[in-house]
Amino acid sequence: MKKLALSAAFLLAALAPASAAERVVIASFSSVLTEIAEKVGGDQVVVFGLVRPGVDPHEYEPTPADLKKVSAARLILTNGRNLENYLNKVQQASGEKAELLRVGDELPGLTSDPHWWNSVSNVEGATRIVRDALSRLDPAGAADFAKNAQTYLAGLEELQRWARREVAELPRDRRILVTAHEAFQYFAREFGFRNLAIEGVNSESEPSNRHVAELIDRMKKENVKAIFVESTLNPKVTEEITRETGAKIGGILYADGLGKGEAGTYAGMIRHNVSTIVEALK
Amino acid sequence: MRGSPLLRAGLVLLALFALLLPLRSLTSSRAPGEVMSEAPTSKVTRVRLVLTATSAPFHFAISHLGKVIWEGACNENSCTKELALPFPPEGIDLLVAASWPAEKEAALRVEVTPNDTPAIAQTLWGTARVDDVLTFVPTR
Repeated sequence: MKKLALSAAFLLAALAPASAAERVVIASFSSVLTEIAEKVGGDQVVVFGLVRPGVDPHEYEPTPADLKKVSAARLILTNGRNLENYLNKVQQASGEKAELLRVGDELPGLTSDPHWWNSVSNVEGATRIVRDALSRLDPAGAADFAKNAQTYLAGLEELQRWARREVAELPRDRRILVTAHEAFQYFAREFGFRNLAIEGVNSESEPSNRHVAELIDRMKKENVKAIFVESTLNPKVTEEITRETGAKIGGILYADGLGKGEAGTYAGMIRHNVSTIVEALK
Repeated sequence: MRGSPLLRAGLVLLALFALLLPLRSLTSSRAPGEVMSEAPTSKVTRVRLVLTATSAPFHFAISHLGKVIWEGACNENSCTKELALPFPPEGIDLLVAASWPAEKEAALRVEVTPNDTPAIAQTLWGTARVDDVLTFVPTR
């Protein structure tokens, strides 16, 4: 049903009358960037969200149907920071006619961690980048894009304020965030946590026995109360860590973009993650 | 010591039980999977707080770890209080709220001086009110 709806949207965008055809078609390879593009672009854009909420971007590969949508796009949004290893296919499908924006590569102060969206400040920066790109492609719509971006940024500022207040209830010396994979470096930096991860930056890599042993040792020394998991993590590893350290499972975090239900929006995702972390470490 | 054998047996049992409790605490270790105790709390330090506003009077409330630690009205531009607070090397977060009667822009400077360390100051700006979290990390 979803495929049918997407195909219908694609056909509508391609065969629309002149006024609608002037809308900027965007192909997005990030659930967070899809939300930003929809909010900033409003009804002057058509957004194809190709990596949908709940899909692991580390494992996603574009389908022929996805590449067909890319061929209609004037703007292609990607996470950047080497997260997408299929950009050659995307560029081929586009025929180089679309602007390819690696948003994470444009953000200042980032490390090799591609999960920039786990910092609200980075998402504020991404919103400005998308606004500027849309204004370049459609100068006539620039005023609307600026207004829409301002509204979305105000919401992000409110979200950030809420998150700071929640996290302030945790003593700063107890802010140790043990996560399934190394996806929360920017979150940790923003809220004064130290981030220890079971797996590396890529959720596909298996942790070595030595790494798990070192992590257990450090967790015991630091008296860590909880670890946070993702559905992709091997449960045997989690069981071993909780058994050896006495730490509890603090809950499931959304690390790789929007999820489903309450985490289906960016604000919902951040609220879920912050509440889960604070509740478990209090 | 010529009491009934039953009474003597009872006394021996009581003595053994009394010995058992300290022995258990000496020999037992934490079983795997047992929930660990709370993280050791950081040392409580004397902390001097100074609020300085661009205009007076103003009402304020300062909270730490979800609890109000100082609130009231300040009739002058500056008010001071000494408190005992845990102050780890990672610093502390204070939730600072203040309001002024006039609808105009105002600023509130919050200065924190933990015992024997240099003062750390942060400033909030707002129209008629400010309400945000400020982080104070020791500089040395």
